[in-house]
Amino acid sequence: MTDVTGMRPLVLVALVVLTACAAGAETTTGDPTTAASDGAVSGDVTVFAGASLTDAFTELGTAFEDANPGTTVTFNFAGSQQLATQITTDGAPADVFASANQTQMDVVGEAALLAGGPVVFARNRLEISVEPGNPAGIATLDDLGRDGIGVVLAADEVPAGRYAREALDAAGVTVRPVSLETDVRAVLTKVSLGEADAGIVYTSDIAAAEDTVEGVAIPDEDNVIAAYLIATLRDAPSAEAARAFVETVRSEKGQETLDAYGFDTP
Amino acid sequence: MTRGQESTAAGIPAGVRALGVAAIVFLTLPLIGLALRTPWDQVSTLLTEPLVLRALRLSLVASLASLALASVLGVPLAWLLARTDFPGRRLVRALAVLPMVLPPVVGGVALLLALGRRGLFGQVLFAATGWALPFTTPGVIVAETFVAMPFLVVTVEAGLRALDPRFEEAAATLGASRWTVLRTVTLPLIAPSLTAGMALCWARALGEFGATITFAGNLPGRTQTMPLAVYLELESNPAAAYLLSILLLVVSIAVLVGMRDRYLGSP
Amino acid sequence: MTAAIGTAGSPAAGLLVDIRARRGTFTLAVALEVGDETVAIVGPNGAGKSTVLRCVAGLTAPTAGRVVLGDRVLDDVDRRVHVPVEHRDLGIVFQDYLLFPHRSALDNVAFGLRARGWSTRAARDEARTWLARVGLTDQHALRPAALSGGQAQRVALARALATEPAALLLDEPLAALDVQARHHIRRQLRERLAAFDGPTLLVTHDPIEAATLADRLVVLEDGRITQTGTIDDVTRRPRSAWAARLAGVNLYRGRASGGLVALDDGGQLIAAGAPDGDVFAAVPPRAVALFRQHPSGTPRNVWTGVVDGVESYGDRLRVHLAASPPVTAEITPAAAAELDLARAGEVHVAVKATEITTYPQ
Repeated sequence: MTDVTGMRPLVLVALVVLTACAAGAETTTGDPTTAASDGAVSGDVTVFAGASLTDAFTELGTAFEDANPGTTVTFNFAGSQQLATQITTDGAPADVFASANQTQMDVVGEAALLAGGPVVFARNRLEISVEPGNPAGIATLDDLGRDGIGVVLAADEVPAGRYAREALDAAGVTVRPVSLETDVRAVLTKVSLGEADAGIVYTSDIAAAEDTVEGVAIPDEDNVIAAYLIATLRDAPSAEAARAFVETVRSEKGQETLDAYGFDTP
Repeated sequence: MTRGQESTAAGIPAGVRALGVAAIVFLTLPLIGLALRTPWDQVSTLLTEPLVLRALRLSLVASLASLALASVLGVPLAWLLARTDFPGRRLVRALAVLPMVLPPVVGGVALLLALGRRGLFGQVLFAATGWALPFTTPGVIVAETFVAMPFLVVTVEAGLRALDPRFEEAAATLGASRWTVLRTVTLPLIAPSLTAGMALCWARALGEFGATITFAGNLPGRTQTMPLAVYLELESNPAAAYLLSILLLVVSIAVLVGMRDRYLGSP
Repeated sequence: MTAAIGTAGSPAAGLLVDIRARRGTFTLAVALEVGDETVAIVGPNGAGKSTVLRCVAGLTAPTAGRVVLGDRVLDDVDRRVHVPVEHRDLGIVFQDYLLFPHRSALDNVAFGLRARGWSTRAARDEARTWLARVGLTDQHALRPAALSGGQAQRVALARALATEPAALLLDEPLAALDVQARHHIRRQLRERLAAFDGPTLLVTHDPIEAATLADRLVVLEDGRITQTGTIDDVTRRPRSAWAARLAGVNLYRGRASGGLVALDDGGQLIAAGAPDGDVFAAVPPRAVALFRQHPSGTPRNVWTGVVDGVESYGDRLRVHLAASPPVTAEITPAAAAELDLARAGEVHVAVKATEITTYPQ
């Protein structure tokens, strides 16, 4: 049996050193983007966006890459609350943050990690998603409170979840959801698979889902208008390209795209 | 000979030693990080929080129920795989082990398609009783059993293979019925494997996330097990999340240490 | 189905085995009856002896034939009768005892009784009695791993006897013991077997074991019974190579006519009083004289050969000669020295006609 006692001190030293490094970690900045003489940018842009923006932003990303050859857009779609955590606590190297509500954008703002100030670039409404054919016969928010109706909501930490709660409270409906999903797309999946009778999602989600779900509109007086905010981040590795992407989102083309995916444009 | 390849007096080449140290660091650093961040001073208050208590209780109940179900189904399966030879045995063993290598979320989706309200078999149940597994605690148990049972099956099968079948023959010649042989000879003699298998199975069930959230959903008190609570509370209640994480970690380590390497192979 | 069945005691109470079974490369064909006696199946390794026991025990199914114990048919392949192992009411001592490692010696012995529904206390009491009968009083609580070879063997025997089975089977009961233990245990085992009421079938490759423990021998070679009888019968008139080795004689087969035996493997022998027809001819090694020169005098059988091997045999030497026929001689060291066996060259073999025993095949 070989003698490995000599390894122990080595391991301990290595662990102590690395732990110390972790405690005092700082984010690093990467290579700056270059601006070509004709105004087009290049570089890699990392965009953190709420899950409901998946389809619209993916298209916008492709358009951006086409308009700016030399750029690559990488997306991270998840619940806005998760993204906020990733940016603030984990020091994720994002260039752009698009949040589905003010709260999560504020989280990043309070951590002083925003560069360009957050701007509202789209709005969204809530809509009830049901299975094609609406077998449960859902017509209003009140129907969601019926006995025997299985309703799925996004978890309270997720913007869509919070909005849904607001809308239900305002309408005076008591709902006991069967599940609280980690992002709004998961809510949609449960409905489209037929496991839940209804789920509250965004209008844009229903537009993106095409035939897999049907939508039941929520009247404006009961609805919650979700404001989507976008901002560039202070430690963005590709600051130029980040700003350019935000511009693209806010441009006429960008707004048209968002509109096509069911978002309301300001 | 380069310096890195020089044999030390103890016989390990220095390069190998360095890599081994790096591996140890790689594996232990996350655990140390977690331990350092856990709010130890708040433990008692956190433990009484309803969120934490519900998750703890549900995890315990569901994982133990999964263990029971996995044992009832898995031991006979292991017996069949180890002791009988039937056509398609290799395929059956591959299927029995499949959940081990399947990404848990994929497992969850598969369970939905089979046992969900609109699933292949689930719809029969739903049509007959109006009840379905998703979003229920039994659904959690099914998801956990699905991913954890292979651990039990594989370990017990190895134990059975290592057991000299002649002991069972001897017991039969003494007049013991097959059931008595199983009870008084086979199971006691594979007890180490059985225990190891059950411990692994339970630990896996306890830590299951992907299949649970996909198949059973997430609802505090009913389907929100500890791993789900960690995931969801990470942003809003990190202290609780860290505590639950460290609890899961401690349990896992206790199980592995308690098994004393038996999970590495047959006893 | 081979012949040579001997009976002692009424077949109605005994064990009847008449089977064929596949055993690796060959098929076993055995027919024998065991009355209230101990019969030993002997023969070289690989002959199929353990297979016979396994068939009787029900652990292996024969491909044809029957196994009957008393008035119960345990196996009848034609009628698709196969009584499961657990219902055969047999006591078996296995070659490596197979004592349950997780149970004490006492509980091992009590196992069969418990399996039959006895209460733990009653079974243990009975087990204690049996352990005492085999001479074990202090080892009750020990696990098999803590027992010596001899003790383990006795526990195994007690375990087999405790259920008072209808028949007893032993598979190489002393093989796992060292020489010292073997001697001591053998005597005890003999007593126990004598006290056992019912047929006992034991399997061994050790002729001494067979001779001491059994009333009758059955010689099994290559799946066939070549001879049965008492140890005396077998050694005085061996009918197979194995039996010949057991008896320590040179054995030849041939065809006799008027005292002249033409040997199957070549050569011939003049044997006094040889019955005509197919015969065995047995030549004890002591009766074989060796010379460097052609011998003068009366021996009627003389042939030549070369030395093939020499081994010590007690205080004498056994010399193997390649010849036609091959032969083993037993001579004194002095004689060997005189012959200068180390030197190559022809050796003359001489055997008196009167020293050859012949008997029909």
